[in-house]
Amino acid sequence: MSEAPLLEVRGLKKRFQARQGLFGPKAFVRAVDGVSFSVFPREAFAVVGESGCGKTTLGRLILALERPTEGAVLFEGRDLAALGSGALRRARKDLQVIFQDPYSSLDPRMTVEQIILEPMVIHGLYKGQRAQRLTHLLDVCGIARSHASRHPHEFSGGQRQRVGIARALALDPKLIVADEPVSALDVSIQAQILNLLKDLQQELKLTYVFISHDFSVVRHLCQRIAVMYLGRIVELAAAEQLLNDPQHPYTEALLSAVPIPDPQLSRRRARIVLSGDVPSPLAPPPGCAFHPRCRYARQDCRAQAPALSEARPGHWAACPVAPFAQKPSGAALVSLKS
Amino acid sequence: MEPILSVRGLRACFQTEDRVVRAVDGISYDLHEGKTLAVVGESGSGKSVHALSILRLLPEPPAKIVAGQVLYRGKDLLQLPPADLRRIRGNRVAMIFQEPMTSLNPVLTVGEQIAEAVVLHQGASQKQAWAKAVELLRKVGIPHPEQRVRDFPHQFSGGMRQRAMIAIALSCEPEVLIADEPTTALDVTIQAQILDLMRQLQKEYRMAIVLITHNIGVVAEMADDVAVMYAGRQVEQASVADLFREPKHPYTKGLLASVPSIYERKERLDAIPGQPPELTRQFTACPFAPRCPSVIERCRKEDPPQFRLAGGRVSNCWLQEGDSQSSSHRYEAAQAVRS
Repeated sequence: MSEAPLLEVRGLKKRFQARQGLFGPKAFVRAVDGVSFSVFPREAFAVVGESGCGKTTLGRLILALERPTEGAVLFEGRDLAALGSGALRRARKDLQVIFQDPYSSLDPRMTVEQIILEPMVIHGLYKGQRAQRLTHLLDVCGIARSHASRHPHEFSGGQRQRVGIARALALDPKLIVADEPVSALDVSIQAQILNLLKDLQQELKLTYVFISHDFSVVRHLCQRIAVMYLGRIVELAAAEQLLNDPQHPYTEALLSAVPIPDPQLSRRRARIVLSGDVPSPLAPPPGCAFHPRCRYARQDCRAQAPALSEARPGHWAACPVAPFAQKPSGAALVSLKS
Repeated sequence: MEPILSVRGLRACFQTEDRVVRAVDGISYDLHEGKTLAVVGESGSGKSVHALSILRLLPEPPAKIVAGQVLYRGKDLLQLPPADLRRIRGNRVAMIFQEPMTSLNPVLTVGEQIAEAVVLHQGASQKQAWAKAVELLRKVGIPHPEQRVRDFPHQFSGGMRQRAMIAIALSCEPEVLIADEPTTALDVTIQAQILDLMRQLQKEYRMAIVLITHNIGVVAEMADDVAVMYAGRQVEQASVADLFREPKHPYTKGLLASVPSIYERKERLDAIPGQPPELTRQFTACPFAPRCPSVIERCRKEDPPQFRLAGGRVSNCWLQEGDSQSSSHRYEAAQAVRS
């Protein structure tokens, strides 16, 4: 990967102010708490985690829909937060999004045609070729041309998600952030949409940041996976490596909790059931945020949050304690505390 | 052994002003003590309406149970007078729902909601019922139950709310638990906790469970037997091992093949093309025929009956006609047609 990254996230932090009750003391939620990674052109990069781990906030930061509290998002080497509103708008042409819920992310009063054309109208692009481009987009996304004049409510969930994808592709973007794009769909429809996303990536040379809670979906589509827990990346590696040989206890437990569609296998395998809930991000545990639920936790896990270290080339994990973690052999340490 | 719960030819529909939606259009199964039967299907396949029909929790009208029987220890729940049904519902046959926040009462404490069932069905005093509520919360793994019993549902996390719901369902030690997508709203690590808890309590109480789910992984992990639903009707039934080893119905095959696996990376997933049909018309042919890769001429003309196959399996597909030991048309099985 000697190529320059398309997207670079550096020491990114986002805090939201919250109050305990109406007059309660101020508190801060560290939704994203020091995240760094790079995404290369034509790569599908997955961010996996459970509810509240900050993966959606991370997606919004990448799209410049939120301003980072600290750190930077570099798209083609330029810091999005430093751009003026005009320049940011032009950059947004290359940065598109597919949302989770195809019911609430499409305007019910617009027709499919209007929805797909709107980005071109806003950016004043493809003048004179819009009708042609519309048919092309309908075709590649598997929407019948005769449906262009229909409204979203006339479609099923899978069809609506195709409209959302066509809209995201309208401006021929470079990067698409897909935030749980198939989690609202039934499995037989989910498979159709995943195949579509995969085909589109190859045909249009797209780069994806794919946000999901589902490892099996991610494995089908993505080359690299980052696992998040309470606002931080705890493990990052090539998909095969991370799934076959997890180096962080949270990843290990998360993988073992995924129900496997095979009755023999699922009843034979060792299952790690984590105790308790994910702690509140208002009051994260001291040290490693995972230590209260970790079966390998030691006394010193409470003292300091471990940084990501390279367990083997390209495989980063933030746990020096777990027995499967190999000690970094002089490998560079990346501090998440920036 | 006599089954605890038998569903026979159940059909339920919703009558709106201008049309009838046939939400459940034929499902039959037997459930035995200590066993789990999974009812699996996608959105709109009728699995949840079937669950609500069992305990007559559907709003009538617009809903109407048009045919079938639900036999609990030989008594047809669909024919029982309301007072008799209330003695069984929540007591001998209990239910838990998908969304624990909306199915708990937000203005009552968790303890009051558990105690309510104990007072109602077991004639316990308020004090005894409260003590039982604390004991049940401990049993379902809520830390500090003596304090948490006074909390309101909003003070619980999603996983704890589902535990509280299970505590309510268990309060009268039911023989049958109907669990409608009990872990769908939860994260996978919390889902693993709840499934673990259900398995452990099932063993302890010898409970029979009807598990309604769309998650094929959950089916593989929990079920003894599986009924697959499509377009409101049961299309296949088999033991969990048989079903995953050799699915008979083309829909089941398609469903299993479309699930992505964390253990292997496929170049392409085998999606089922098209979408499920509308349920507003009476099918005169196989409802899966338009999406079926193995479709034959007959499928488009005649509705397949239920074929009984070796090993107690059942499939509604013309391709199994040659292997069938007997067949019964779904509407003949539904003898008790209610008007």
